[in-house]
Amino acid sequence: MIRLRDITRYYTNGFVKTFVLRGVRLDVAEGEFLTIMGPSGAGKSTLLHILGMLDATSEGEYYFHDIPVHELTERRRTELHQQNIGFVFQSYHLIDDLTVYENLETPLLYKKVKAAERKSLVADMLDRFGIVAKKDLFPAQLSGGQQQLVAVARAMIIHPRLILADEPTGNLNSKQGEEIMALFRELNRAGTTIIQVTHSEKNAAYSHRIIHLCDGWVTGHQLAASG
Amino acid sequence: MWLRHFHSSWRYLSRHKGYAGLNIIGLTAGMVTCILISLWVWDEQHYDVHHLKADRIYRATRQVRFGGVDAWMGTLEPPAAAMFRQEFPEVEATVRIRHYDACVVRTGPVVFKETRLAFADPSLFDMFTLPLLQGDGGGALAEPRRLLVSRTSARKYFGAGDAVGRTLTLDGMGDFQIAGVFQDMPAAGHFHFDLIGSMTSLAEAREANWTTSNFYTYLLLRPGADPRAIEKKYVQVMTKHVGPLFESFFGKSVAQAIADGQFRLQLILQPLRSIHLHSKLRYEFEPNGDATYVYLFAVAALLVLGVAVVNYVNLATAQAIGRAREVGIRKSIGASRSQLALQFLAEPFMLSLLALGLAMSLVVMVLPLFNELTGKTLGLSMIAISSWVALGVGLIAVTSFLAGGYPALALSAFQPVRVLKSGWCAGGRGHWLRRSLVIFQFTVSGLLIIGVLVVSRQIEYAQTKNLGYEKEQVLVLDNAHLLGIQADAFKNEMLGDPRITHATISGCLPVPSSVFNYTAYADRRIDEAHAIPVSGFQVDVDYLPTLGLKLVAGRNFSRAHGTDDRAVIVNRALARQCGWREPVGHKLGIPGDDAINRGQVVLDEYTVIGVVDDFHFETLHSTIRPLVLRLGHQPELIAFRFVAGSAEEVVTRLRQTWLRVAPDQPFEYYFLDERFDSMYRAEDKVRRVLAVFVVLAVGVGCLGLMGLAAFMAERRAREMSIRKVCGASAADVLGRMLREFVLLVCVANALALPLAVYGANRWLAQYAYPAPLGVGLFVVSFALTLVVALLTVAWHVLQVARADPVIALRYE
Repeated sequence: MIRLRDITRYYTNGFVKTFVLRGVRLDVAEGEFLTIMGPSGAGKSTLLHILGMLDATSEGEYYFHDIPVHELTERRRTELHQQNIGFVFQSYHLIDDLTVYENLETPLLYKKVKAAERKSLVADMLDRFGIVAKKDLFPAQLSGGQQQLVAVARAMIIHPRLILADEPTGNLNSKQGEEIMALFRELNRAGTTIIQVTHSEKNAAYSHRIIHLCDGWVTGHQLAASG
Repeated sequence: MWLRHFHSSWRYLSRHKGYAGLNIIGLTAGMVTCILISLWVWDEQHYDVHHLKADRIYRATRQVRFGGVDAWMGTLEPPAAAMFRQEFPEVEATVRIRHYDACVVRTGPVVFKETRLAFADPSLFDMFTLPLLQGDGGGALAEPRRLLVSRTSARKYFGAGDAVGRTLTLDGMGDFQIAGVFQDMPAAGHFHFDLIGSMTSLAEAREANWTTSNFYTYLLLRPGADPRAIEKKYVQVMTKHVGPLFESFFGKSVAQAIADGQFRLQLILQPLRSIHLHSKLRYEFEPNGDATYVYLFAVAALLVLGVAVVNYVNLATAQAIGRAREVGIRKSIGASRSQLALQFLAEPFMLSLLALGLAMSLVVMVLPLFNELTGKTLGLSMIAISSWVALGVGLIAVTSFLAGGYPALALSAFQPVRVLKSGWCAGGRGHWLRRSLVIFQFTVSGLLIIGVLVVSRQIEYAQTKNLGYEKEQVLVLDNAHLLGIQADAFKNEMLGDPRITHATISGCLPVPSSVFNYTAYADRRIDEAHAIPVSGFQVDVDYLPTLGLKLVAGRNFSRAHGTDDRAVIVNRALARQCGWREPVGHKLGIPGDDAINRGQVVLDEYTVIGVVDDFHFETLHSTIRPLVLRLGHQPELIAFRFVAGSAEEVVTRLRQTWLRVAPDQPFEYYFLDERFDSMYRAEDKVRRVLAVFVVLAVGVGCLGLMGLAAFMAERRAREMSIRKVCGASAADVLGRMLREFVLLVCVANALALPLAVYGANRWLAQYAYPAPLGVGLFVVSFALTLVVALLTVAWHVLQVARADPVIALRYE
């Protein structure tokens, strides 16, 4: 599903190049649950953003279902992203001015889904995640765990083939964290590919495979407990 | 999708009410200004369009150089109209209008002084579209002693009764029978008459006299005719008619005089519709508009709107930093850049829509005030619904794209990766943009402030300049001719009052009153070199002391000298032009009244007995021209010089005496200095309109600055707290925060300076006596903008300077 070849990412600051990723080579198969681990500043989030097409590579090749992402225009990239990828962040990143319902609906709007279909899709999600009662609340009125639940629902609503999660439980207490991770496992079993970034060994244990990043290099692969 | 954009914009605006409020107020102010000025400009540009044949009607005017002086004259000789019809096949019809701006009209006990009386040829109603309510216009004007009156005048004289068939007496002209009533002429026309008499009633209109020119002459050209062709042929045709007369006068042919450069005659046909804005004759029916002010005000209105748009750009880009996270999120869930840009355009669109709604209701409310300010009668129904729609759509399109364009592009360009990570994205570009925009706002404010100051100074200059006469403590009695032969007795009786020091009977004062313009001949030599166009005043022996005029040589008129009937007092300008070193004793040839009527020149000889120092007998627009004072009995006005502080008692005394001497006549008076001030009413109007612009531009600019200061205070709170922790005093912090604003205001003023100097010089060029442009103006403007800017930002900046650093740093 995903093929990264010698991905390098650096930022130029004056005459100094700061490397964040160096020659990353990675294959991810459809239906996999992958964890990226590493110390702070290792390049985990950057790798995730590149995978999510929010950031571009400096060098190297990125194939998504054999489509060369590194060659696409911004517009085509946005399209590919709209069709296939859902994001979940550590700090939820819901839109403060929109209700739960509207937050869920927004990705569908960008995908230009028809109104009737939007309505049924949002209703499905609210139902499936058990947040029907919360649909008219604003994010600030929800607990952290509930917000993350909405964020996952928002990521799932376009039926993505890939979910990218950046420390999804980082801001949650352990009980809420376990619920979210259980939800990811369930989604993965239903066929969604998931790539998460985490510091937590406990979260990593939910995945099939772990790669370790350090200073931008991939320093190791390991099969996870469930893998 | 659009609906969603509006929806989320609405949410955002209702959450950030301060931000929304500042923008709506600014945009509303800008739009109100634009709408009002659009109405005004539209009105100014649509004068005389109600005449159906307007595009074929031209007014014949002439540029004449004679005796070394150029003049642009709007009136022609009595036979000129007939000549146009005979000699130019392009001319389909002509109308002559003879205007009387002061005539007392009465019917029974009802007496009014009419300033809008005219006599016209019968073709008036064919050429111009002047709807008649009663009677037959052309037929009525074909007969002598017939009069048409406006509906308002008919009511004024006859109340609800029928006016047609009744008689009005025009003083000095006899009885006229009313033959019809016409609708009041619309405000947007370059002439307005209340009474129109038949031209055949006037003897001078019937004469084939080429030496007087008192008739405004309008030509209706045949469709497709070229006015330029008529202008080109004019001199040749005129020569045919007046050549022999000219030669007998000057001893050389017209062609020769033109070749010598002493004489020039150029016909200029003014298209009817452009008269109001573009005609600047010495004598018009009424004061015209001025195209310069139309452009000036249009630009000023756009600048005010520009300032409001700039506010939006400033505040929106400043807010953008807070919205970066939202952009990041939206991009991460699949928004494309164009979708985001559209969303951020929806916001200014909505704001301008709201602002337009508010602006329209405000326009309805302030229109009467605006009319008062501009002396207009503008109405909303003046322009068609479709034009309103166009105006509204235009305003919204311009404001939302100008205001929203840059913020939309800037916001939609945020890199989600960065903003999601760090929470915001500080753009260096935005900072420079905001600075430039603030500079723009203060440049506009500075320019407008200097504009108001320059206009004010010119008015003040006119009011305080040494005019050569004393305009204070002079009361002028209008309608003195109503006293008839008792005028002298009246004057003498009043002189018995100790509060009245001098009194003079004359028709001529250095404020708008009668003036005779003619050509005098130095040392009685009839040739081009000695011909001097002069203005003539008819005065009595008390004229000089009453007005406080200063004799610089010779003596005043005196009753003791029986020969003073043939004496003149001239001003220095005349003496200079004649080249006299010792003017007293020189002879001056003045065409006699009878001589002109016989179509040949006979000069009466006058002796110069005195020279009066130059005084401004016209506005400061023109230089002091040669002036001749002659003794004459012209009892139109009586001017009284009174002792300071006794104005009220003098008026009371005058009224009592008047009521005794002329109980049936209207008692009207004015003070000379007030009438003088009214000569600068046009300037005063410009000053007031500009002042409104200043308040708007500065006010709207300050709103934006306040928003910006609030934003800056928020952003720099942390930096300033760290500085304080490191030992900076509140004053240091304050200085550091204010420095930037001071710098911006300085740059803005530096930019405004050359523009203002250029503009002011252009405007002052219309005055022969411009007020000097002092440094003071610019210092005032600079100080004003600086103080206003600092006051605006002071509150927010003080908050930061006085804040407890611990609080700002706690949340790091």
